Amino acid sequence: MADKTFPLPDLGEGLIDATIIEWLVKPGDRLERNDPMVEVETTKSALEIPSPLSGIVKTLHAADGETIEVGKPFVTFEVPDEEAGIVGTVPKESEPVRRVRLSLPED
Amino acid sequence: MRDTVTTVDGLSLAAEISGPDAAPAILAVHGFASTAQDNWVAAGWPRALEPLGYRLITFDLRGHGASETPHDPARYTGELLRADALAVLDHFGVERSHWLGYSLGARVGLDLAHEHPERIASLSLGGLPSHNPLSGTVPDSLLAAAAAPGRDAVALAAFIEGFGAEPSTTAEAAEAPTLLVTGDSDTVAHDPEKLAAALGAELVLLPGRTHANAITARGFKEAVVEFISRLP
Repeated sequence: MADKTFPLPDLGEGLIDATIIEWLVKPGDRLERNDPMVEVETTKSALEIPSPLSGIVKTLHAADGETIEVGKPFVTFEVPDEEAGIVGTVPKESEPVRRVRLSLPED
Repeated sequence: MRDTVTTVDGLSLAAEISGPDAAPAILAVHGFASTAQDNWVAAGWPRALEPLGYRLITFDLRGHGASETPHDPARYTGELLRADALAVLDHFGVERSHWLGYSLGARVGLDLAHEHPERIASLSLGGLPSHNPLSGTVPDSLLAAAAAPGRDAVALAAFIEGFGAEPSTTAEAAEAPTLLVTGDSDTVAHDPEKLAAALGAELVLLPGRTHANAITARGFKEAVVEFISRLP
């Protein structure tokens, strides 16, 4: 198994941070991609961020009520090695993947 | 499927419908200074409502999102907002729909259920104030929301001026079964117990939630799914 860390995704429109309202998961939970994962609140609205992938939650990097900046580590998953990259060539501390799936305003 | 709906006074509204043809419909109507995308989609509602197997219809209220945003306060009356909702239902051929509304969207639904009880099968009302928050001193949180990036602040100022002249909603029971859901820290929609009693509504209070962040709550979504699935 390998770790895969996701940053708080870009929430658009110049929003620089978000406050965790409530994590809907805890370390050890197995999530499918798009399962509801966390509720966050920005200065503009509250939103639910779904899981970016299928895997086991390893670390939540902020607690309920904490504010974190866009781009900072948000959640770490344990995933099978083949999903984390090519075994042996990608260090575990690789660049966070920014492809968190989110439905955001298109305008 | 995205579509454009034309209102009785000739404005274009951005609407969207999803779900199985001929299934019962839920019309979800967002709050002041929000959008269908922010209030429902980004808050996780389509996913939460999926188990019902219903059609979900959303649209951006006039003055909001991808709908037209006139700057004339006269275009923002309760009568026009109710007519807009009916225009959306008519456009998609829906005679009778469940109504899911938040704040302003809840208020419009309650008023419409009194005016056209034949069109509204049930009311799921979130963060419904018993007064008109756009009348008199508007709460800072609503003003800040109107000035947020991506909003048409001039249109929303006109909305406040126009809709602010409306009286409070009629706090009487509608024919439609009614669910009221409010954050217990909501300072805009205060005294939900009294309002629920006046409406003959079931009441669900969301612990620790405010007017701004009740919309994502699991407890809200689960209450609505449970309420609608229990209806005859």
